[in-house]
Amino acid sequence: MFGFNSAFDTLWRLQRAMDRAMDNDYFGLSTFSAGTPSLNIFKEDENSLVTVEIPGVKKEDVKLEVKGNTLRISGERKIEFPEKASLHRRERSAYKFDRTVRLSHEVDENKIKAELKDGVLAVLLPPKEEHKPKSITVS
Amino acid sequence: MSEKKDMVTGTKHELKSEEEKTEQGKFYKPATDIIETKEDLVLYMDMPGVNKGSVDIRVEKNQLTVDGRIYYSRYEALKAQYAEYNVGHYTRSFQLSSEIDQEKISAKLEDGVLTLNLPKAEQAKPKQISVS
Repeated sequence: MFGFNSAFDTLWRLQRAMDRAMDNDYFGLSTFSAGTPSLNIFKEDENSLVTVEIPGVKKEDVKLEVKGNTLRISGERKIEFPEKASLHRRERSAYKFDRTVRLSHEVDENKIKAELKDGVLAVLLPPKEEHKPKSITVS
Repeated sequence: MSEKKDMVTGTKHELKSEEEKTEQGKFYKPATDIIETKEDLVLYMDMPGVNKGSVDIRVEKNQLTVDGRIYYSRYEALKAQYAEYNVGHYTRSFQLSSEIDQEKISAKLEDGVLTLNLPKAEQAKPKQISVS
């Protein structure tokens, strides 16, 4: 736990700093900078694992598309309240999302595993056989 | 892409607690909606990654505290490549008024959203007064 946290923290802080410097709206083409919802990309052995926090989103409301080395995640988060309710505090928001991420390898479409559990979407993307790294023995 | 969005979500807020934690790990303040109906107050809290077994809800001296635990074990074999969010436990407290019937509080966790039902005490329910 400690190892993951500290290494992760460093990367996360670095990226936040980079984002602030590079991706602020002044240099961008649109008024839209940070991604919604946030996603993380991990490496698990040779596979890539993309995780997205989308609490309250139903399986039916998520769409995944894979092409080459890109993964597109789109969907909608709906928030419904009972009728005749008065709002005291509103911090959660409803949104539509559509994000595409580029991975470091082409994806084997037949081996993709996607799971939506406890509001976290996890997509495991194994590389195509021909894109797996080959080890070379030094003779 | 941008025009499809209704609203930009807030990023996760790391908890800046007055009291110090005795354990390691990050703590976040779950984003919460609170609504009131005739019968009850309903709290909706976003706690992605938390399952039923790892939520702790308790009421002490009119303070309602919700704790949600994350298991780091699922991240142990992973190497982070690109990160936009961090993971950690969730914790948040609310002060309850005497209008809440503390005995009847109920909770439900679904898709990472915790729904808390806080029924109003009998005397706090709105009454219709007819003009004679």
